[in-house]
Amino acid sequence: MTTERHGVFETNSSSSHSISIDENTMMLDTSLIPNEDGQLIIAGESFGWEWAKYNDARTKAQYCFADSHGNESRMNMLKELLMEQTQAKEIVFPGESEDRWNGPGGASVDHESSGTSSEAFASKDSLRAFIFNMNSILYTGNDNGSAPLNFYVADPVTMKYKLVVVGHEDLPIYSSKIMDEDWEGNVDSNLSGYLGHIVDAELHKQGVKGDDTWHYSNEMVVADDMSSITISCKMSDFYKKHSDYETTVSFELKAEIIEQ
Amino acid sequence: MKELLEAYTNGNASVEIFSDGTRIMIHDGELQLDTPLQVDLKITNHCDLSEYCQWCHEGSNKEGKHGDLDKTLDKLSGMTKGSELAIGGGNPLDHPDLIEFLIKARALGLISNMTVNELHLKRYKAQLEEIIERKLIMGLGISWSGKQKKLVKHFVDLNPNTVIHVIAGIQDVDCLKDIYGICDKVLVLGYKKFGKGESFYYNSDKAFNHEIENKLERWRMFLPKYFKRFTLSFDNRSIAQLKVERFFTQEGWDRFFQGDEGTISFYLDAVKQEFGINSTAKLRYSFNHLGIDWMFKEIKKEQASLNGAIAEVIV
Repeated sequence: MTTERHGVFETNSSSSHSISIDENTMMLDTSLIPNEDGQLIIAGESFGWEWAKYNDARTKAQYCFADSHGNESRMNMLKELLMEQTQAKEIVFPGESEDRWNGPGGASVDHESSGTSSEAFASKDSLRAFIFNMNSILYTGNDNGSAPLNFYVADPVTMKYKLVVVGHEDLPIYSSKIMDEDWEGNVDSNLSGYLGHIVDAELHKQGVKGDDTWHYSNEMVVADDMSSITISCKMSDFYKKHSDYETTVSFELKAEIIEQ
Repeated sequence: MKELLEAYTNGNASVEIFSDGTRIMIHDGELQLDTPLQVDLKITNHCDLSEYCQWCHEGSNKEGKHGDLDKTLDKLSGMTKGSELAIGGGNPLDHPDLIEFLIKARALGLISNMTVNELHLKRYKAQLEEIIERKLIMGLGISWSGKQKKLVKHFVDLNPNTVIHVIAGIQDVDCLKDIYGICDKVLVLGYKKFGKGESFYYNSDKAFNHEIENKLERWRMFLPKYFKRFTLSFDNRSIAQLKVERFFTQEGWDRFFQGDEGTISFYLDAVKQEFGINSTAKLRYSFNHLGIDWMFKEIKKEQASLNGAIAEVIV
C-alpha cells in the first residue's frame, strides 16, 4: 500500500495533517457549487439522438433529472445525494411543464432511451459514482447509425492498445483488449466494430458506393505474436435494375498493434 | 525541482521525504511503525496573544511556562532519522533555547517544522529569518489573521515551504481569496471545542455560537471553489467538520488519507512533560520514564481502543 502526502511538511503542532489536495489528487467532480443562498440549481436539458459523451457532474445530474422527473423515489434519492455531496441547503429543479412533449424546463430523454439511468439509481452509492466520478461517462446516440470512431473510448491514454492501419494512419483506434474473452480466437467485438470504420473508409477510398443490395464480408485474423491484425475484405455490389451487373472489390489491410 | 531529502525504513514501511515536503510511504499489509513519522510538539505555554485569540484551545498566556527542551530532546533521540517535528506553542519564538534545540534536533537527523502566529512576524522577524536561512526548519506554518500580508509574503518568498494555517469557523472560507497570490499552500484546521475554544463556542446560555456554525456551513459549501488554486491540507477535525471525504474517489482517499490521529503521530507537551493522542486529548500520560517507542505503543493501543469512537471525540 502506498500513502502519499504532496507538497507540504507537517507544520501543525496540535493535530496532524491528514490529507493534502493538489492538482494530482484523485478526486470526484467538485464543480457543482451552490449559489450564495445555498441553492443548487439544476436546469432542464434535452437529450436526443446526438452522438455525445459527458463526464461532468452537472450534465449527468441533468440527465438523471430528465430521465426521472415524476418518479418520486428516484427524485428523492437524487435530491438527497446532491445535498449530501454539495452541502447545498436546497436543490432547485425546474417546475412541472404543461407541454406533454417536453418535461419540466425542457428536460427530456428521447423515448427510445428513456429509463436508461435506472442502473445508476440502484443505490445512492451507484448514483454518486455515476454523477460525480469523472470516469463515469454518459453516452448519448441512436441505433439508426453507427457511433463515430473511438466514440466509446473515454481516454485514449488509458487504453492498453493502439492500432494503426497501414494507409489509414490518420484514424488510429484505441482498445482495452484485442481478443474476445468469451469466444477465444475471435477479435473482440468492440474492436471489430471500430475496424469496421476503417473498412468503410477503404471502400469509400476505392469509390465503391453501396446501396440496399450491397453486402460485404470481412475476416480478421490476429497474428500469433499479437503484433498485427489482418483484415481480409470481399465486397460485392449488385444492382437490381441490371441483375447481370456485379462488381467485386477485395482488399487486405494490416493493423499494427501497439501496446501503450 | 524537488530533491530527495531522506529515505528510511520504519517498522514495515519504507518512507521517502522530499525537499518540498512530499512524503511517499510504502508498506505491505497493515502499517506497523516502530516510532511515529511525526511528533506534534508543544515547547512553550507562553504567549502574549491570549486576549486576541479567544478561541485558542492551548490555554497559553503571558504567565505560561517554557518546556525543558534538553529532557525533551533526550526522548526525541529515539525517533527514526528523517522523522518530523511539528513545533508549536504558545509562541515557540519566545522560548530562549529554541535555536539550540533546533540545531540539536537537526544533528539527530530530525526534520523540524514550526508554526508561528502572523501577529508575531514583525517582532520576531530577524530571529525567524535566521532560523530559515540556517535551514534549521523546513516547513514554516503561519497562523493567518490577514493583518501583516506583506510580512507573510516576505516569509513565503524566503521559505517556499511555508503553509498558511486557517481555522474553519473562526475564519470564513473566503479568507482564501485574501491568501491567493500570497501563498499557495494552506492548512485548514477544524474548530477545537476544547479549553478556551469550548467557552468561546458556547454562549453564556450554552446555545451554539451561530457565527462559528454559519462559517462552517459556508466552508462546506464553497470550499471546492478553491481546490485548483491551492495545495490544501486538512487535519482530522476539519476532515470531519467539512466532510472532506465526499470529494475523493475511494482510490484517492486510500492513497492520500494519512491515517487517524495516533496511527502515525502523537502529541508531546514539553511543558507538562506529557503525551497524548492529540492536543485536545483529555487522557494524557507522563513521559518521564518512557522512551519514544513505548509512548507510541501506548498511543497506538489507545487509538485502537478508541477506533470507531474517535470521530465523536474529534468532531
